[in-house]
Amino acid sequence: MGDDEEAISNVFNEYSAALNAGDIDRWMEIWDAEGIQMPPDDPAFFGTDDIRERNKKFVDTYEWSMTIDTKEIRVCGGFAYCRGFYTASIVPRETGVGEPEFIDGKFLTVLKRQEDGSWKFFRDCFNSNVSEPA
Amino acid sequence: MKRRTIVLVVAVGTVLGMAGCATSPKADVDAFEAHVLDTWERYSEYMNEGNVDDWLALWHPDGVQLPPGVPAFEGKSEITTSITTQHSTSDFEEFTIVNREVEVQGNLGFARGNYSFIATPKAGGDSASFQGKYLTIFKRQADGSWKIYRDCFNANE
Repeated sequence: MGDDEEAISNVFNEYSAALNAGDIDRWMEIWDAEGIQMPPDDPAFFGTDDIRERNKKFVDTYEWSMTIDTKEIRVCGGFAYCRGFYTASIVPRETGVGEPEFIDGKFLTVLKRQEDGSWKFFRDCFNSNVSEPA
Repeated sequence: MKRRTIVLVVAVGTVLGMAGCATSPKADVDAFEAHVLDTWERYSEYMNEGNVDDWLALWHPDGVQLPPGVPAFEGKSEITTSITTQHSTSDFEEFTIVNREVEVQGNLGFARGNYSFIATPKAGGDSASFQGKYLTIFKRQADGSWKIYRDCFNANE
């Protein structure tokens, strides 16, 4: 694994670690200033203010246990294209009890190389592997 | 119109590297965008016509489609099975793609935008309209054409 690929893999590790720690400020550090998040069942979120607002409620509402499995990383100049899978269980923080909800999905992410050589999320599209109940 | 979930169209072992990039020619973003827009125009046309063969020709042989509600379809064989099933069960109309952005470097580029379409079950029943967004990676071929290489999409509501 090259230096760029290792650095990019670590960005995904940080994504899940920050989410699992319930730390929205830490999680936002993975995002490019002009990042666009493309989650399912919502329009896209443009820029870090919108992304923070959208995701803070999920971090504040649920205790997360997420794992990301990065299957493909292709670096091409100032961009990198990544694909993989994620699983998570979430439990409402308010009660801390009850059956966890399980999430099983996949992602396609474009990362952008920063001026300091680090990599950040630039475009992130993801969706569930499981269909919604009819 | 009744809204319902429909599977429309998108691994083991990590793939890493600079494949198709380090030694590639300088990318021309305008030329790439023209290829992308042409691909989306044909993609929509073939979906509306139910033209599976020509639609499949837009894909790279190692393409991976990541549609919502199912695991990814990896390679032409799995994508073929999926799209054939879709067209055997539904008619598609007004398939429209509005591209919002392209970036390209070397032999890889990406496109982002929105799509909409109407699907009607062949067996009868209400039509349903869909709006969503996509992030697609294209890969340049030896002949200079660009093929759909990775395609992730999901609904907006």
